Amino acid sequence: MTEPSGKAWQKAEGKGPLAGLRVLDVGMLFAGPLVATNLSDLGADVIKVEHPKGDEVRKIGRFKDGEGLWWRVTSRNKRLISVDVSKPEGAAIVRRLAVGADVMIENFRPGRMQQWGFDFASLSRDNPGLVLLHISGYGQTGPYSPRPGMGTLAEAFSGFAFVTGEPDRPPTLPQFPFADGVAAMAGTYAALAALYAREKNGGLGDEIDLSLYEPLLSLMGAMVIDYDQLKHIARRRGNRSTWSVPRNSYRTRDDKWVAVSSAANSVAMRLFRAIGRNDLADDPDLATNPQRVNRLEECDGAIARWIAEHTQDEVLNRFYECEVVAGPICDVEQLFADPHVKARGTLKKMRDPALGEITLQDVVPRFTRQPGELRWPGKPRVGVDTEAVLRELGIGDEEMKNLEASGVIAMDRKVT
Amino acid sequence: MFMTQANGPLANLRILDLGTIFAGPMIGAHLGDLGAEVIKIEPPRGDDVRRLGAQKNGVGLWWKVVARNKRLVGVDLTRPEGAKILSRLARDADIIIENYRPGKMEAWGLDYASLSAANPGLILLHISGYGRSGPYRDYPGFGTLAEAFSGFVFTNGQPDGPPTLPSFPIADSVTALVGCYTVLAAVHERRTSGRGQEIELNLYESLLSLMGNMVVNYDQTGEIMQRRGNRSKTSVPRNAYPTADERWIVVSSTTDATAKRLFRAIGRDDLADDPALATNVLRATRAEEIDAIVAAWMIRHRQEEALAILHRCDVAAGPINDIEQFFRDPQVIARESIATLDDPDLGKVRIPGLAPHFYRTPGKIRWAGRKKIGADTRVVLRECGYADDEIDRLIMDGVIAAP
Repeated sequence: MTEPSGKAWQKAEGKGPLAGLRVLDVGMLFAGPLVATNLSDLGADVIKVEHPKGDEVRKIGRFKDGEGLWWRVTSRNKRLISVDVSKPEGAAIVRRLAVGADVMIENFRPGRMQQWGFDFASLSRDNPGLVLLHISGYGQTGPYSPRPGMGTLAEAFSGFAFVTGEPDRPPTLPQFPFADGVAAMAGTYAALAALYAREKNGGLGDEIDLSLYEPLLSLMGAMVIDYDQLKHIARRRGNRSTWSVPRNSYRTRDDKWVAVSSAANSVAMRLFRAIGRNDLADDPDLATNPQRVNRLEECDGAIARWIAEHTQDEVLNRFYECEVVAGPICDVEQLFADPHVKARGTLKKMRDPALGEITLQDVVPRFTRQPGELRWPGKPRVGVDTEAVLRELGIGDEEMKNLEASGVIAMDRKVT
Repeated sequence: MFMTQANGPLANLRILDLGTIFAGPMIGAHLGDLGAEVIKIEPPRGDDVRRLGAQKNGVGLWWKVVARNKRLVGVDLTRPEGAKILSRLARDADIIIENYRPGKMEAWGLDYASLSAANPGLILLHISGYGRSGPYRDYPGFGTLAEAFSGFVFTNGQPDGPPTLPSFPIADSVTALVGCYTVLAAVHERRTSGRGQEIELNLYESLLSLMGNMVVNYDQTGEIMQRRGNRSKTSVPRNAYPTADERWIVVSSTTDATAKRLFRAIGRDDLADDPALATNVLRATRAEEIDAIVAAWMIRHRQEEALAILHRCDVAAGPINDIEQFFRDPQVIARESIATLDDPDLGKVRIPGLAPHFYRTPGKIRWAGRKKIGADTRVVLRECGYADDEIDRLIMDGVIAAP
């Protein structure tokens, strides 16, 4: 085999602040790959390594004409190579890619990577600047580390599920791989923080251990400290808030929904006036959030009754006029139709080779000088870029054929 | 004026945190955990977070979390002299984070052109509810509205119940995570260009990016995602199941192998071996039946007993913890998922620990949010070149606040 060169990364052509950054994505389902997705939106060149059978994301969710839709989202902007890393020859290929990488992301069960020979010590011997990010359900340490670590378990373990939902109903799990998405965001900034340190320390990378449940804790505000200091156990409260009244989702006359929030006292007063209840606005006993919490049913009931007598449009027009903090609870259809969403380009139409036109969420952070860019939706065929990448690595036709024949790699294969 | 004693990968990175409830300040909190030096600018009356949520010994507990690691400077930015102080601080900053309503900063003379004139490497991150463009840019942009607008609320909750708002400021917290990697990406780019830039982020788009396939499903199939409670359409079985001792267990079967192990664990080899149940797509067609079987097994066992069996069989299952259980959990203790700090106001105080564990350059939570408004105003302004009599005058005029 030829000397490791890292040449496979020469095709970097992303636009955005991270253009030229090389990311090796060896994860699956979802946290690891989503870190790479986030980085790729901002210009990083991502090579995704998937198993010759095809990544699991290809096989879940909705399909159209046999094509997995979710894959389009998570694998956007990525070049795809298909290699079985559990085979020594496969591991050798990935190791050569790691030589030229800035960031390597994996979310297998703790220990797997080491089994396959990907320990940080040996990886960083070949590439001292490499940042290796591990993501797993419970982290790389502690008694639960080896357990299967799906996002659902992290949502339950962290307390998130326990506090979500209506008080008299079961704890509610989110509809989306929430823990994975949140951990991916934390993983994205962690990897970039390690790159920042690398600049200052003469080029040394780092190894980072991220669990799925710990990033979720940062979303739950004061839950930890309230328990620690006051022994307050946060519980499900439905739509009402313990610290801000009124705050709820209300049904309108045309069977749509409106959300209202009044963290600031002045907003609550404007809301009472907007629904014609100057008496509540002028009541000194309702001036602050703690006071309104005491008379929650009364405040909330007045608002619910008024909103139920008006259509969503009427309610929102009235509230906007009075500068009340309120907005529509959109379903995805309303979101697509919304003028603000259209004006900002929140959603982006792209071409897909199998599906024709396809809409995805566009890059979230708007950089002024060199904006990030969605380049393509997740490519449908397994290992569609294997040949090009391996060629850039200096692997010849014959060797490639052998690797394919022995099932170590897959080249441009339909999902089975 | 920025101290540089912190450890962690972001040591020496200098951040001015101008925001309030919550997206902006949470960025400073996370990056401060990793070693960045954060100076928080709060109005002389004190930041609004101080007055939110539970209080103890006259201190807002939430403030302790959000203002951790930060030095506090009390300045009234609405006054020209206050804005001038900020401009001076900006000369030595890498990053400014603000989440006022679009236009406010400009109205105070704190537009990017002015701020970066003496510091071309400055990165300025704007956060707002709806963003700085589009027809809703001037609307008040609270997290609750973004949660509702993005589709998150509509799809959250029980199918026969109302759309459910989250019990914590999720839109803000999620946007903060996006903000963390956004500013670090700009810092990365600055290495080659030598220039900073202005970036904007809004709350609803950050949240939308978490909602996986909702957009593409609607686009390609017309499906409008609805509330479904705890079941998943993509992964079966997946639910929260009550146990004999009135606790809860969750089960996930995103991969087919874990679903098979679950069937075997509850003594249903027949289901594990049934080719008609081999994949998630197949199991989804018989979701009710499968779910009922799993539920019937769970309700016959206590939580601890059920989990022991499920974990022995390597099933993806776990407890739904309340915060009390979470504090006691051996994994949480082993990993220090909860950090314990010494606090002058509260004694020992516990807040969430660092999510990313760096092996070579670990971050550290240095202190919880300080009680006094503008606790560090005097020392920071002194470092910035202000004379003591000038500082005293600014305090008298109400432009700045210091203890």
